[in-house]
Amino acid sequence: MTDLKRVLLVEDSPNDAELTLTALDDSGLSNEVVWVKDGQEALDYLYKKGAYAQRADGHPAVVLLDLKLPKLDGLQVLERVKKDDNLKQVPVVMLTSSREEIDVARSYGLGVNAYVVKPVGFPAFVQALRELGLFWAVVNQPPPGSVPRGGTS
Amino acid sequence: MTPPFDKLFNLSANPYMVLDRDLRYVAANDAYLQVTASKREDLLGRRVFDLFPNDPADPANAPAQMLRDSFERVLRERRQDVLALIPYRVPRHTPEGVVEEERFWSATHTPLLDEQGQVAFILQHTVDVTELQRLRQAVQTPEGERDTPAPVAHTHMEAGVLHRARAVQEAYQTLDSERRHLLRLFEQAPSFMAVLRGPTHVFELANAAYYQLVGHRSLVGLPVRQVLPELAGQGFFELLDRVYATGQPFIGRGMKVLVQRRKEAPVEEAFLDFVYQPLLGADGRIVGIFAQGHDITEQMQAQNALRESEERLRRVVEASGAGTWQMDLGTGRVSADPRLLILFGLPPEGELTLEAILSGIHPEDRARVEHAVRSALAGEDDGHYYAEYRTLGPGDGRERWVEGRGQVYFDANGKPVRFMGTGLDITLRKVAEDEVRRLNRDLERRVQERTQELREANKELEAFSYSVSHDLRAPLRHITGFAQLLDKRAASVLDDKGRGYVRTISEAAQKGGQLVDDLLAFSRLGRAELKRVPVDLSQLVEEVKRELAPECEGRQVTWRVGRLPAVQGDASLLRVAFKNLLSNALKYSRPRREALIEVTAEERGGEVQVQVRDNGVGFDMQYVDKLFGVFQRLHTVEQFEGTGIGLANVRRIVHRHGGRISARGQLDEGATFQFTLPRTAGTENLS
Repeated sequence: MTDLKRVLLVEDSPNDAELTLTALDDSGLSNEVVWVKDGQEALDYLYKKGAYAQRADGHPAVVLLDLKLPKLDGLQVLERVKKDDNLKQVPVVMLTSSREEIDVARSYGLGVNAYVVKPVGFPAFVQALRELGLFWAVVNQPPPGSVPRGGTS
Repeated sequence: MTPPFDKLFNLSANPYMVLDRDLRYVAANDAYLQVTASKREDLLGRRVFDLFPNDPADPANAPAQMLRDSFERVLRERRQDVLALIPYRVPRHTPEGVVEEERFWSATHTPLLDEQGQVAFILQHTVDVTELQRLRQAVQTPEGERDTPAPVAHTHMEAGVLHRARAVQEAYQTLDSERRHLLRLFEQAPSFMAVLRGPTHVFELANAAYYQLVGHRSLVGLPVRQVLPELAGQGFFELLDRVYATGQPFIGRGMKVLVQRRKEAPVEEAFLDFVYQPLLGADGRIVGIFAQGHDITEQMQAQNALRESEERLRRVVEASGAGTWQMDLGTGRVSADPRLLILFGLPPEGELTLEAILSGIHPEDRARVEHAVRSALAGEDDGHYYAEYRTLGPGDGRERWVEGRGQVYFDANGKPVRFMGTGLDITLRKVAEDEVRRLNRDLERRVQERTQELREANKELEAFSYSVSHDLRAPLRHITGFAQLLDKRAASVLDDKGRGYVRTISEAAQKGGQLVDDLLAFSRLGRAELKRVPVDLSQLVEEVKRELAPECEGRQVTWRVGRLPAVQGDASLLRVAFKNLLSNALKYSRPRREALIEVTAEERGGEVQVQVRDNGVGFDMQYVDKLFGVFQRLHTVEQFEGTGIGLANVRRIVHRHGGRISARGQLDEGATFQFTLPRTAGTENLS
């Protein structure tokens, strides 16, 4: 787990993680995903700490962040990222079940780059993730220091 | 003031005397006594001819006969009779002493009539006209004829007679006017007057006031017991008897008498101030009683009315339970009734002072009361005084609540002169008020607690729906996701039935997801804050129609949208409501070849009433109550898709705007939804 990959998926539910990975597979991105299971692990990865102390330098092209997470939740992770001068340029996409207005508002308030509600229907879910992955990990020009398109370190 | 008739009578310069029918002296004034050189006690009660026979040797002497004839004429004819000139021998004061000599008189005899018109008395007025003597001498009357009467026949006397006649005329007029004057005074005297004669108190005279008192009945010449029978047993006759017997006058003040004041009327109560004054005869014996007085019935009635009204007032104050007090600000004297003293715990006896009263007031309240008193005395609030305070009885040490009210009265210079008022025990009221306050506080506390509970419950509900939104949707998403993946991977190894199961799993999970989404949306509708702004319903309906355009595709739909006013409401919630209603109308009119949807509105009493009507499948009115329930449906999903949340949402939105919603329908005959919205901002309901 020391690679730097283009997509950091922060998701506590293995089912969701699998569905997400399956969906991203359609975009050919499944090998570009690092999957962590809670907020603390996400920060460890981003700050190269703990289990990720040895990983290669640089930032993912996009962080797909669930809201409800064990330990630190998605909003706390988002806040830490967006308040950190080194990390704040990393695009963060909220990928969540919540349609609650308050979650949307707080996320944008903290500087989230996009907010996506996971659709219940799988085709819609696949569609959403495909577009998401393509846009952030492929189409979008990530900030300097991110993993370059098409390559791994 | 009553003129002193006796005095007037006596003081007259003209000689007067009064005779009764027996020609006995009843009265004689000082002038008469003077010209006749008599003493009253020698005259009264005696016959005039016994005293003054003119010629004792000849009782039938001519002058005496002339005089007697005149009296008899008066008695008979009840008319005044004048003797222009009559010689008569009467004693006379001279420097040499009393001598009896013939003198010439001019006399007028006036009848005094009683009630029956009978002559009761004869009033005589005489004038000494003896100066005619000189005339007689001037015509040289022989000495021998001096004693002979009838000098009137003498020719030389004619001129004297004329002169005399003139003098008599003048004298008579004087007398007459004086008599009338006296009578008028007597008659018109405002006090009632009567002269009662003899031991049976026979009315001799009575004036108008007296007649008015006793109802204008016949009095003169009749004894009092006979003419005023209703007085029997009231003590008045006995009083008269006593005055007559003892000669002691009686003075009665405010005496009550039951008297018949009008003919044939029942007896009435009258109140009199009066005097029974004994009349003494010439010999000092009592001959009658002079009754004089005032009818004070009206004053007494006024006084009694005042007393009664004071008594009533006292009772009212007593009934109110209030104690009363008053203070003379000049002397500083304070008085109070026993009820007030009890309130202040003061003994019922002893000198009362303002200090004593103030010292009975609870120390914590004293300054406040003193301030209220000072303000009233200074004329603030028109001298009204009001204070609620506690008192401590020095005797029983009991604490009482007192409501003090008072009023300061000022003199014309604005100086306070009197201060009076009431004190009322309001201890029970205060206890009750405290109880009410305690209950209110308790209620307030309970309301706050309850509000807090509700707030927490609401928070929990929010947390619940938040977690539902996350946690309940996730497994549903997983089911559809993996079912889909299964279908993709294993489609080839599954038979048709197996593939059908996978599809059903996926659809059921999606349906579950839809229900969760709807439920969350419904819950949000109840919690979201209402943002009231003016909303143009026409524009709103047009926009909703556009949103629903896809559902109209391939169908023939006729919209009839009337003129819709603007309302005050939450634009996004109203949009949800209209979208639900119009999409329902579209959905349930799907079986119709041509769908007809009407949206109309009218303003009615500050409200806007909106009506949405379709020609769809309608519903049976017996299920109308289910229409607006959450997840309540009247059709199967196979007939018409939906979760049954739409109308529940509409009703919640209408209620939150303070409106009402109702539905009318008939199977296969379409449905009409009618709801009201406030024209202006209305109250928000919680449902």
